[in-house]
Amino acid sequence: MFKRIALPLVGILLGSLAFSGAQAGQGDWPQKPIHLIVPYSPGGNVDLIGRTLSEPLSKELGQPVVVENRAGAGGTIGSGEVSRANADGYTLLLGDIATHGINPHVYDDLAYDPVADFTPIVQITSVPLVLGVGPRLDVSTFEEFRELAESRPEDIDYASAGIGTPQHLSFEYLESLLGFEGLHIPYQGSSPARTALIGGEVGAFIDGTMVPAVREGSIKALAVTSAERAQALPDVPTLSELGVDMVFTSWHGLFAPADIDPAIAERLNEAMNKVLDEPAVRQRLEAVSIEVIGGTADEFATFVDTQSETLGELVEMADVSTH
Amino acid sequence: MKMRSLKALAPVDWISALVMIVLGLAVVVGALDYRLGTAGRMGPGFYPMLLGGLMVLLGMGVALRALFGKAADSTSEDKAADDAREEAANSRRSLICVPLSIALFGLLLQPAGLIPACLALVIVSTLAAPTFSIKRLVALCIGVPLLVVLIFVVGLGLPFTLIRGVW
Amino acid sequence: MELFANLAQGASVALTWSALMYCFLGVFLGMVVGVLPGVGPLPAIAMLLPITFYIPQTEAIIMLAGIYYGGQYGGSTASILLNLPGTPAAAVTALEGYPMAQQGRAGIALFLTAIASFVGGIFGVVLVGGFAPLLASFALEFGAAEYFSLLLLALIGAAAIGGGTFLRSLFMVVLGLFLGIVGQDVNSGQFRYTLGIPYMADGLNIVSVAMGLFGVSEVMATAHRHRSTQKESFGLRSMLPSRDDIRRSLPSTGRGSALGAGCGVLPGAGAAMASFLAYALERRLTKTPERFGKGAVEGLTAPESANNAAAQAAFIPSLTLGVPGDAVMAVMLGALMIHGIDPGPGLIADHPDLFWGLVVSFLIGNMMLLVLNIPLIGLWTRLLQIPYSVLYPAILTLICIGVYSINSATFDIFVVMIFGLIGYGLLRLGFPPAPLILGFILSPMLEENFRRALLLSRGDWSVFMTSPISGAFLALSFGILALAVAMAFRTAVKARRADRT
Repeated sequence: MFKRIALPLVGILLGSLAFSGAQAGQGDWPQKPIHLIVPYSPGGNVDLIGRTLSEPLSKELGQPVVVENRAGAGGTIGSGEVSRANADGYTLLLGDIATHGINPHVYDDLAYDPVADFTPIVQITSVPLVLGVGPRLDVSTFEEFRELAESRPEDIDYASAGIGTPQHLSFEYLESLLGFEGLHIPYQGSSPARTALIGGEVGAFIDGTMVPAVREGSIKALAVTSAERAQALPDVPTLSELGVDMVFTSWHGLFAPADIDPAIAERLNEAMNKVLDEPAVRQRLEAVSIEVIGGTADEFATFVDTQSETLGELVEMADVSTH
Repeated sequence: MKMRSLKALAPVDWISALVMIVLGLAVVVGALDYRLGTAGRMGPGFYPMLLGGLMVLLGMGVALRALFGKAADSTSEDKAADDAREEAANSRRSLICVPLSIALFGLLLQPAGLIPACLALVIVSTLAAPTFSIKRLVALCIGVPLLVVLIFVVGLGLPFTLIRGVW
Repeated sequence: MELFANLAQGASVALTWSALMYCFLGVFLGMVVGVLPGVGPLPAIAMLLPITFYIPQTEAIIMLAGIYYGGQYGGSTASILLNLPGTPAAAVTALEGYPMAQQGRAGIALFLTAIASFVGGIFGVVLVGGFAPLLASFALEFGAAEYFSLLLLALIGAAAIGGGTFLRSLFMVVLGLFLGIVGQDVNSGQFRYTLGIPYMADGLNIVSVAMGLFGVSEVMATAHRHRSTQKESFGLRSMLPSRDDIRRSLPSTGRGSALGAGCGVLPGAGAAMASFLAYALERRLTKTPERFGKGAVEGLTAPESANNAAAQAAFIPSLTLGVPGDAVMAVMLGALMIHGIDPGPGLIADHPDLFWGLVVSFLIGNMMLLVLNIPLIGLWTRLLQIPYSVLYPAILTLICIGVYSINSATFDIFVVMIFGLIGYGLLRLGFPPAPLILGFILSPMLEENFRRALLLSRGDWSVFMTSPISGAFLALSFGILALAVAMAFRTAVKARRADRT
């Protein structure tokens, strides 16, 4: 009995040993497990996306895709590690608006260049943000909110998930377009900020995780920040419909180190697009109000470039610094 | 009375007070780099400044008590602390070997892999033991890596490189 | 009796074979990872998350929840046996549990811990089942000012923890407060005291700090010693507590459960604060404070029941407000939402089978844990039979890997080493390490809420007094402080009088 199990096991171990020694060429990539680096701790949205994708992607590529959390310093540690990793297609980064859009403008001595050090593979998601108000503000439409912002801006205390987060920058953006200035109250992440909104400690908050609370009725959604209406909240108008020229979505994408073999990059993009088309995957992500994007690597590269520019201006406007 | 005042001047209290005050001052000096702000918009420097100040005050409190009869100090709890101190004083070898072994583990883990790092840790930390036995060392060098690989890599599936370049 | 009807509904969900199996799998896995100091339930839950996509939602949540509270059970084992607290709550368990183990009473300590955990867990479950919506609305009452005052109360209470004198304990609290703010400041975004090291941008890791201060410094202090291994019997008798132990444990377990359940309802404060407060309360109430720190059973059972009660009560804000208290809960909420269930005030009404099934599974899971744990006690105590010179290299390896596994950062291994050295120095100077841990974990919340309260009030300090909840906590804090000063003064006067005669 023991021999029956042990012998094949030893065989497998020895086999894999021999395999990993040989350097895999591009034609037969992937030959060994692929490490998908998530630059945040387990439990966040990015981690959730990584773990949702890892299994179908493994099936697609025929090799395990292992999620590794390398959290720290707003995602810069994990991103830095991938930027320095071998560009052999076995180390990939699940990046987001922070690692490739905001951080370069906030951190002076960033350990990586978001454009030069990476090859964008595919845009995975787009997360529409929702402008929500809690019981503290007596408004139920965007128009009322705008009137309040004009007449008594000092009444608008707004929450964010921290300084320089998409939630913060998008509110600053809205403030500049509407021409008012509320009081910014930063919280340590989305969920305490959301609680504060529901509990009435603050009046308003722009965030992508409020859909359940909106459905429950504890938060009123006034507008969404995406170009199109959000799938999860089809009745909530977009800001542009309301006459405010603002589009701001959070996003996630797959990146490889810069010098990756173009053939491998292409293979990855294909595989990812297939995975993102699976109804099960879509359904899971849409359940947490994340919209699946996909598309070509070039589209994603262009998108990252424009994002970096817009976000740079926003960061400057919001006067975010870490010093 | 004589005994008490001798104990009152025990260097431990003076060292403690000194450590407390120096640490507190260091915190305060660090806080000078950050904006203090106002009550309505407190800067990042306010809170550490407060903490540093408190640390200095507490340190001065311990120093004062060491100066003027430390009656309240001589409780049985203090005796336990005394024992711990005496005990700790006898451990020069572990004082060097234990941290060194941890540092080696940290240095080797990523460049060399889990198994070399474990071996280094086991070998160096064993030197702290009161007696040396080659049999024990060999057993540990086999047992510990085996156990670790079984629990963390096989059992929990944590992504470790076992030996860099080989596994 | 609506509650019984509800429970019956829950039972019909939780008592199916598949639900029982996933519940067992969850609590068993949780217990196993909980025993490994530093690893904790998070990696296990994160790892199992993809599996939960393929099993029914109720079973999935039952399993993930099992890992969560199973981990609380397991967490005390390593801190009792080896002084290795993998969580801040377990650091409190070590205060009395480790001395008990050294006196050859490890079996009793583990037995009492299992029972206290069970009682606390059940108490928490009852709270979840009976009062979830009510408590959720109570938790919403807590704004910045209320949090600040509660945290202050917890800290002042905690200065009573550990040996040494009040001044030294207080200093350790403040040192912990300082170490806790290393990293990025929430309010301004500024990096403080990070020494330019990117790994410190998010602050020091609490597990590294706790394991360094307790585990590594203990090994440094004892590795060189000939430690005689205890010859004990491992029959049922060696783990049965004496009549005296039981008499002391009963009320403390009750108090701990109540305190823990109360703290658990508040998102974020949770299990750690509960166990520290429960321990401090026992120390205040006891007539024999000199037994503390040397294996006082009530100092073990109170925090253990508290942290398990808190772990269960933590489901209240998570499920009914959608507010996860910690990362583990966050993963679980993610799993819920992926299955299309929105956590929030309507959850109980919209998904009664899920909610009540979960409640019943908590009861079953806690019983499973008790049954699983008692036979294991013999095995764990046998660990102490291994000569220390063989055991400690393995302990050190366990510490290093546990700490590394959290963020896959070698930096954390060096942090554990440095805090081992610091802990050793503190030990020599007679500073108790436990208050530092509490200060450390509460500090960011304390500062944040302090500054936020003043920001929201536009600099008006009276906010802390005008809220009744906050005012009550502040008054209590000052009461304790005044009492401590008065007692110190009285002992000083007494001693002086004794001197003169």
